Amino acid sequence: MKYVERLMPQLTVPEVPKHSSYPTPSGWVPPREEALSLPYQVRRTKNHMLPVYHEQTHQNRHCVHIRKVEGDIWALEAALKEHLQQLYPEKQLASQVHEVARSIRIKGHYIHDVADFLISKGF
Amino acid sequence: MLKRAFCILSISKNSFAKGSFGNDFSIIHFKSLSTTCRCFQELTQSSVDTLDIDGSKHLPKQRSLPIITSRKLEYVSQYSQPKQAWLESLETVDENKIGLIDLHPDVFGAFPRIDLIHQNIQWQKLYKKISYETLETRAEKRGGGRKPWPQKGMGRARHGSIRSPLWKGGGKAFGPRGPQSYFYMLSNNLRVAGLCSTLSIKFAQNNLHIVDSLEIPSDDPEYMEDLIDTRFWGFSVLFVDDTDMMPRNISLAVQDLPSFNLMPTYGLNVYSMLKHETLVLTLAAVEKLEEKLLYQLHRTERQAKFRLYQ
Repeated sequence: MKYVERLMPQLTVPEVPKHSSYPTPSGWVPPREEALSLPYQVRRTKNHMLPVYHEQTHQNRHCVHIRKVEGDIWALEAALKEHLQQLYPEKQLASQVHEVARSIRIKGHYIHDVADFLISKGF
Repeated sequence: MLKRAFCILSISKNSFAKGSFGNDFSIIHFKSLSTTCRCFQELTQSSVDTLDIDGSKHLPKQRSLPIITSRKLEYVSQYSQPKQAWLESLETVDENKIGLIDLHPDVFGAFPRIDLIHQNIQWQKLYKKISYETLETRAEKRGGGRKPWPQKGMGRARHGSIRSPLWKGGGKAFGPRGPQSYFYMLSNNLRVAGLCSTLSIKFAQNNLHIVDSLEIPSDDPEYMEDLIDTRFWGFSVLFVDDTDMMPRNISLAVQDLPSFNLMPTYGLNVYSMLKHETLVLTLAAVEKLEEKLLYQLHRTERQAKFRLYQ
């Protein structure tokens, strides 16, 4: 029966199966418990992915969009900017904090750096 | 003997936690009671019947301390704790608390998105709207086929018809044209977020009450008014139950009171929740709402590209 069940469509997203080691072959890392102690949290999406997106307008305007921020959103924005400034000292960083929608936008093509930063924090 | 089911403790490893650290995270939780309203009534009704000496069924026995139970909540994130609410009863005019139950944080503790609530209310008002305004154009107005005076020689402005938009009594050039519908569908996620935000706001502002069932002892409207005045439940109350077949007594008590309304879960909407000051949910309604809203929040997007309204 299990061979039939695994072919049937799933209505809700299941939990991630336990792996022996992380990161998984696709590069997925689970959230860690130490992230609970920070003043801000970034919740995973329903598909267990980081809510970090790359937005591009026209040919050369790149933004990083971080959604689902809980807690002190300004503290997360300050931490992100400090981290990115260390990586790119000569760049000017512009950011927007949307308190009602609980999201942060940073101007620039920094999506991988932001994702690495959030994973290092344990989100 | 009344079974004291809530005294049983058990250690469970996977009850609330979701995510990879489930194995390291063991918590103690009370063994969950079956949470349908009938089960609660079975627990307490047996004690009521034995004391029914003088025939007054309206006075339940002095209950012991409220039962503290835990409900099985699914998809609980590691970052949020379940919210807690009193489980009350409508059997007496005075407030009586039967128990304390857990509510899902994503449904009753979501961040209040006022912009999404506004979008939901606008949608609820507009999608049913059909504007029947019509104004006739110059072609539809009676008359106006003949040139009123010759083009030249009169010393007057040149005109072709007495019903042009320039003339008094003439047609409207770009006016409203016939029945126009303002129908549109808000996307699924926005409607779900609106419902979760409104429920969270009601809970946070102490306007949400959870009741075991909508059974009341008498069908007198005064009983209902006294109950709501005593408990300070506000000017208007919306009672939400699991099904659309409501108990007889409350239906009769509430039918001539315009500010108290009964509603099944499938009729729950942002506009009604905001219109009524207090929201009273039965336990069965809470279970059903949580199940439906959590399904929407966690469903797969397999059929997204084939859905008409996403």
